[in-house]
Amino acid sequence: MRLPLHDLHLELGARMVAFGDWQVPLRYRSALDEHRQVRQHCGLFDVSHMGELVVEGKGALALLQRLTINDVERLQNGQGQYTAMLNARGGFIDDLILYRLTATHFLLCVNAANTRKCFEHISSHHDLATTAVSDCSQDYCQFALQGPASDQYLAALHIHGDCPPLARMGIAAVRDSSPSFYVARTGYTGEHGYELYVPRKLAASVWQALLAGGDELTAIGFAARDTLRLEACFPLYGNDIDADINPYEAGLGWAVKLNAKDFIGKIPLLKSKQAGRKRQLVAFRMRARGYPRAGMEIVVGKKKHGRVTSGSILPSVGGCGGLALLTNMAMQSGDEFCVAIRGQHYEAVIVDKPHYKTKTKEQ
Amino acid sequence: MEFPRHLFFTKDHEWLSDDSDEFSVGISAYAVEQLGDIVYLELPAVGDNFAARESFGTVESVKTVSDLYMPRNGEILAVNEEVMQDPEIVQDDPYGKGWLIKVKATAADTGNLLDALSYQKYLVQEEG
Repeated sequence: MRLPLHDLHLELGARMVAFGDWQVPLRYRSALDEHRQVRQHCGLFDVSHMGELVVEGKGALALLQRLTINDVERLQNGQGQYTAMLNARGGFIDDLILYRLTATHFLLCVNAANTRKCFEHISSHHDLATTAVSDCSQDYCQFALQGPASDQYLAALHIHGDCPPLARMGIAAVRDSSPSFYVARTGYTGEHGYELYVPRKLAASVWQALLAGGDELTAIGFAARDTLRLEACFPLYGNDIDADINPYEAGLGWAVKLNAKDFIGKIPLLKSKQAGRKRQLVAFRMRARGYPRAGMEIVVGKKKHGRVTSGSILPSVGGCGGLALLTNMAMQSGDEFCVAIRGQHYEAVIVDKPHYKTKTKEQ
Repeated sequence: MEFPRHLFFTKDHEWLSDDSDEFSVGISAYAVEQLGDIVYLELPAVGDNFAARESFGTVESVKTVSDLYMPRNGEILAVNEEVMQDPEIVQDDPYGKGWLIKVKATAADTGNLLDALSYQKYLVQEEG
């Protein structure tokens, strides 16, 4: 499928690649330059492939409490939280951001490839009398404005007057339209920034207005998006998390609120917690050489200890590294293992997450 | 696609700056196009020795990984540190700033080298 702004990306010189069902811009110029641009200044991403689901009605809150791992009761109007929906085995259906717009109106930002699956999962549990679920993905384009200088470009869009200062994970409607235009202070790069839910008919003009806001703001492709998120150790569904891994194994236990409520997947999670984790998702860096890729085996001596789930260069850290799912719980930061790359073993070391922490202070 | 006339090529899609005993090596514009977006290069250390057609490194692209093959028996005199830092240079300028290694030949044999025209003919045959 093509993004609504496909032609604009071509005009900007994008190399398009397949990403799931979508054709997305891989890079517009050097992916390394794009990566640095976001860390040092600001970049604009078209992430319109992402899915947007809306759950409404007086039963919405109770439904979402039952379907997600985080505590929806903690959200005030205009706040979002990182959370996930689990299957009956405690594995991920998807990880997502859940926003409370009002007490009876919630927006869910889900992964592109999981949109259908999430919609069907929610639909199969909702009570038609009290809640309505809709897939609004076709109505929205989603842009991410990421980097320390994001505020100045958001201001250039002249929506700032309507947009109250947002706390981290906050969301606000900035234009009364149907559907509404939302700005959220979230992102997938580890930098300060915003994600914009732009009604599709406004998308081209908003994209162009943002890029016209200053010469130093440029479009950023998916190659840099991947290295940025990997340095920040944000999991990618399909690589680092999937239907067979649970939040504790993925190091996302902080988002699980076991004591607050019952939810689908809670019992297997409780069992997993009591029995002790069998696997752990760790960050690693290559000692010297070797380019790790998803699926490569982790070995110590002749014994296998897991696999690489994401690997690439780490431009802001130097060298290569990534995330690995280890079947050995005894290993920890500072311990070494090897990555088997085409029959040869290359040394790597486990490091604390994340690989990279922004230098910009969050307000 | 450009194949400068002053260069020599191999059927493994490496280029050589000349056919004397000291030369630079890179990959051809054809190889760059086949690889797609290059993300990482693994190159040998100065002083390493390789036989002709032995792998002296790898090039990782978004799509795939390929071995780099030594065009002649030789010793590594220099490695382009800049392309290791920023592999996209190879894509943007494969015959210039995108050189990979400098080599001192350790045997006289140059039998398998193709001039630019012969290499282009070879590509046409291969593409069939």
